[in-house]
Amino acid sequence: MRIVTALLLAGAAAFGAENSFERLHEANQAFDRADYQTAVQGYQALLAQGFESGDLHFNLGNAYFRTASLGSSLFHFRRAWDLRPRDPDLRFNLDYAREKVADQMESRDSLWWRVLGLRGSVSEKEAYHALVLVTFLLLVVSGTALYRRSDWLLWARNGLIGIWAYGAIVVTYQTLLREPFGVVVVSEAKVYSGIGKDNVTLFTLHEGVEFVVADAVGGEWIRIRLSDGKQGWIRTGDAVYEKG
Amino acid sequence: MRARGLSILLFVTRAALGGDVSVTMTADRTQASLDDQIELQVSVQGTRQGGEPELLNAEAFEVQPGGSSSQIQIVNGKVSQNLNFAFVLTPKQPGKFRIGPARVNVGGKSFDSDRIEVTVVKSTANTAGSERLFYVSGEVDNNTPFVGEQVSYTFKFFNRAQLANAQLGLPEFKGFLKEGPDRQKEAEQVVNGVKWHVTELRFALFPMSAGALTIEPVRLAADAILRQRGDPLFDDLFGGGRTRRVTLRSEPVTLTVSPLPSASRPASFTGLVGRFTLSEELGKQALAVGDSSTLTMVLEGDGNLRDFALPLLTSGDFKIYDDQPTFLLTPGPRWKGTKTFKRALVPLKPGALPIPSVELGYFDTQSKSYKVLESRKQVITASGGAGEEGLNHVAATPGGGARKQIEVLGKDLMPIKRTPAALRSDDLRPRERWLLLLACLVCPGIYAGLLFLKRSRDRLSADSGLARRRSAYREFSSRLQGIDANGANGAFFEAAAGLLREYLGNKFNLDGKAITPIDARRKLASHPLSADSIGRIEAFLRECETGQYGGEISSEEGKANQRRVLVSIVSAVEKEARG
Repeated sequence: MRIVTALLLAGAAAFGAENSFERLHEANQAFDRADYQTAVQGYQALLAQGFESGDLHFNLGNAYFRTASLGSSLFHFRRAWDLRPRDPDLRFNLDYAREKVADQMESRDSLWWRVLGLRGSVSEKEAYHALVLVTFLLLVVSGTALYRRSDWLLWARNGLIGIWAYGAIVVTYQTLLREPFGVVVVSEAKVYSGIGKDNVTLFTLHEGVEFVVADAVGGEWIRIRLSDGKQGWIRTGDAVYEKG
Repeated sequence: MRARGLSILLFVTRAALGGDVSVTMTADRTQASLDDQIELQVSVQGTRQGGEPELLNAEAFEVQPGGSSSQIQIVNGKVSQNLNFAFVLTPKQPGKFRIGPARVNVGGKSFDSDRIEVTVVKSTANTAGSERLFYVSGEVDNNTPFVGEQVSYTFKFFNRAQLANAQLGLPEFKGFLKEGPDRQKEAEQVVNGVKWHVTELRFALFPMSAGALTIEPVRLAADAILRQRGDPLFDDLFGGGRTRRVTLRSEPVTLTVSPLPSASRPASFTGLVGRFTLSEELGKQALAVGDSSTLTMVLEGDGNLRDFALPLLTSGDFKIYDDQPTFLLTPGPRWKGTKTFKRALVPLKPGALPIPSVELGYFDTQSKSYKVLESRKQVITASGGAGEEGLNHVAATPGGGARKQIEVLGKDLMPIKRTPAALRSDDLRPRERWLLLLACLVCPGIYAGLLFLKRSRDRLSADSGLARRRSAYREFSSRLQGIDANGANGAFFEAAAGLLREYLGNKFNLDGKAITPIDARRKLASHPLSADSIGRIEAFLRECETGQYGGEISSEEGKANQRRVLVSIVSAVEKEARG
C-alpha cells in the first residue's frame, strides 16, 4: 500500500509539474500574442504556486511593463534582481524601467551593499551555499593543518578565514539587516508625516519610485525611506512591497 | 467483564496466528465498458493484522487502491473483526476476465478469496447514449498528413453528470511539434438522441518525421458526483449523491505520415508545409541617403511558422537591419500563424534603388506540390544628404572616418525567458536557510573536537608522568586478572604487593618498586591521599610481606579477601586523586 501511495504521489507531482509547464507555456504564448493581461495572470499564478524564480519575476516584470504598469514592473524586476543578480538581460530591463520613472533618485543601493561591493554579485541563496562550502573547506584545511605542518596550508587557512568572514557578513546582512523594499504603483502618491491624511503632506512620489519599508505597522499605512534619506508614511494601496 | 476481556484477547491472539480467517471479494458490477470503472471490495474477516491483499489476474485492468478500513464488533459477547480494502479497476481492453483471487497473508499463511468474472465491452457512442454518464474521445482531422503538415487534434469530453477535482493528463505528443491547447469550448451536443454536455480542447500538431506516429491517449481523472436513485426533489434540495473517482482515456490515434517529395523541390524551400500568403508594406518610398524606411513583411499560413526565419537580404544599395520578428497564433479549426518581419532599409546612395525581393518555397498540402512565394518588387527613391533616422535599431552612423561609431537609435526591453528553468526556485526557503546555517555551526564543532584530540595527544606525548597517570588504573585492571588466588602463597602476595606498588608508581609518577611499608607514608604524603588510605596501603604492603616471607600459609579465602582489599584501596586512591 505504501509503495502504491508513493507511486501515486510521485505521479501527482509529475502531473502537477506538467501542468505548471503548460501554464508557463500558455503565459509565454499570451505574451507573444500581446495579451499581456493574461500573461500577467499566468505568471502570477505560477508564483502563487511557489515557483519563486528570477526568470518568472523577469517575465512578469516585462508583462507589467507592456501593460503600462511601471511600478509593478519595477517591483518584479527588483525581485528578479535579488534572485538572479548577474543576469545581464535583467540588469538592462531594470535600468530601462528605471529610466521611465519621473522621480530620479541618486542612489538606490544601501551603504552596506556599496561597501561590500556585492550588488550584482551574489544572491542570498548563492551567499549561503558559498558560506557553507567555505566553512567546509576551512574545516578540511584547518583539520589537516593540525596534523601536517605546512606553510601553504596555513596560508590557505588564513585566506579561507578571510573569505569566511566576508561571507558571514553578507549572510548576516541578508538574514538580519536587509530591509524589505517597495515600489510606488500609482501615478501620484502623497507621503505624509504620520499615519492618516490629516498629517502634513511631506512630498509626492510618482509611479516607479523605489523605497525601503522602514515600518509596516499593518493596516493601511507603511513608513517608507527613500535612498536620499527622505521618510514618511504612505498608503499601502499606493505601493507594492515585500512583506517582512 | 474479565471473561469478555479474556475472550477478546484469545480471539485477537488466534486471529493474529491466522485462525478462522476468511477473504471475500465483491464487485459493484460485472459488466463494464472501457470507460467505466469497477469498484472491488476485499473483506478480510477474522483479523485486523493482515497486510494489503494482492490482487491476482488483474493484468487487463489498471488497479488503484481506494482506501482501507478496519472494524471490530462485540455482539452479545461474541467478538468479530475484519479489514476492508477497496480497489478501483479501470479496464485496459475489452474481453471476459476472471479477476482474482485476492490473496491476503496473515501470520505467514495465505488466504484466497473467490474469483469474479467480469465482461468488458468496447465503449461506443451508442452504449454511451443509453448507459454511461461520461466518455471522452480524441480525433484528428487528417490521418495521413505530410511531414510538417498541420494536424488538428480535438479532445472531447462528454458528460451528463457533475464532476469535481478534474485533472487532465496530456500525452507527450512524441514526434510532433505541439501548439495549444486553445481555450476550452463548451457546448451541448445530441448524440444518438442523448443530450451531452461537451467540453472540447484543440491542439495543432506538426509531425516531425515520416512513418507511423501515434498520439497517446489523453487522460481525464475526476470525481463524478452521482445522484442516488431516491427522491429527485430531496436530492436537488439537499445535494443527495455520492462521488466516485473516474479515469477516462481517449483512444490512441495513429497517423501515417508521408515524407515530402524530393522532386521539384525549389532551392528556396526551408521546410514550410501548408498554405501560405505573403504580404509586404513599405514605409517611406522617398527619403534621403542615410535615412531609413521600414519594410514590413507578413507571412500567414497554417504551417509551423514559430521557428521560421526569413532569408537574409544583401544589397549594395542598402544597409539592411532585421528587427525581432513577432509571432501570433490564432486558434481555430485550422490554427493559423502570422509572423511579421520588419526590416530597416538605409539607402547608401542617391537614385532609384530596387529592393531585393524575397523568395519563399513551401510545400502546398492542398495541391501536394511545391510552390514559391515572391515579394513584390519595389523601389526606394533616395535623394542626397543624411537625415534623422527614426527606427528602433542600432545602426552605423555614416561618417567620414574609417571607423564608425555605433549610435543607439532606440531601446526596448530584453525578451522574456522561455526556458523551463523559469520554474526552478531561486529563492532560499526558511528551512533550507536554517539547515545551511546549522551546517556552518557544525563545522566549528567538528574542528573543536579535532583540536581537543590533537592537544590531548600532544600532552600525553610530552608529559610521560601524565601518560603513566592516565594508564595507571587501566594497567592495574588488566594485570589484576593475572593474580591467581589459587596459586602458591608467596607468589600471590609478591604479585599483589608488586601490583599495588606499580599502580602507585604510575599514579604518582614515582619509582613504584621502591615503595616499602616503612617509607610509603613519606613518599605518598605529598600526594592527594588521605591518611586513612596511606595507612591502608602501609598495612597491605606489610601483610603481603608477612604472607610472602612469614611462612604462614594463607587460605584461598584469605587470599581472595586480600585481593578485594587491594581493589578497594586502588578504588579509594582513584577517587581521592580525582577529587
